[in-house]
Amino acid sequence: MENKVKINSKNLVVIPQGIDKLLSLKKSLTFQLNNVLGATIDNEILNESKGIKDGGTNISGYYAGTFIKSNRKSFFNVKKSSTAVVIELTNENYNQLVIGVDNPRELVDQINNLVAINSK
Amino acid sequence: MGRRKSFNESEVLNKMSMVFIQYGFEGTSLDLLVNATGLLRGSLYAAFGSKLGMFIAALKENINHRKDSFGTTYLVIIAMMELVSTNVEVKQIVLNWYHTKPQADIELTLGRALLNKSGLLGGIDDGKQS
Repeated sequence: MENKVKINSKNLVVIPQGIDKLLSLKKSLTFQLNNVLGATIDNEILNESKGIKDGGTNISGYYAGTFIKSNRKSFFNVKKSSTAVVIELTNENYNQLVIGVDNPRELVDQINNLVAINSK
Repeated sequence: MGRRKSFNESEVLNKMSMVFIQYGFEGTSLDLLVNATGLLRGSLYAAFGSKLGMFIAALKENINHRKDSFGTTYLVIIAMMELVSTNVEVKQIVLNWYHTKPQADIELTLGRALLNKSGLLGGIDDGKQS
């Protein structure tokens, strides 16, 4: 089951599915919309080294938890078979989120339009 | 985005422009941009926010500094084909570009660029549009 993403007037909320018990993660991750810099469909990011695992799992074909690479902290919750969406953040606990969602194109378009409107 | 940048932005934007012109927006992967610029994926995301942010920066750079080049027109065509209908910022940039020229010139510019890019008439793409 893919992550749920909810966007309201102020926040972007990610509700991870499937790993919360395994990793004793919070039930949801909330980020200020003003701190979201953009979203991209980027499946090839899963082929790169994810960096050092800081809690989380890396079982074959499934990446979940926190990874640190080149001073950047990433939250992963994505299956290799999913379409990976990368959400870039600033002034948050994470530099980026790499997640699988049900409607990647719609989510990416929605986020990038909000970024365009917020940056005006 | 107001982030610290440890690279020559104009040079990076030129390299990214070439990739977008060759592959279009959808066809351009982050791996292609990483390879073309020699920068880390994380550095590109930190500087531009997203692949769309990279395209927008490349488009603006070309419109501002090489307004009448084929490269600029190619990027405008890619924006029109792939992004104007889905992103408000790209739409505004292309509308602004559109309003800088008389309509007849726009049609000629777009048509010439398309014919040139296709190679249909055996022309040489020298990057200049006159």
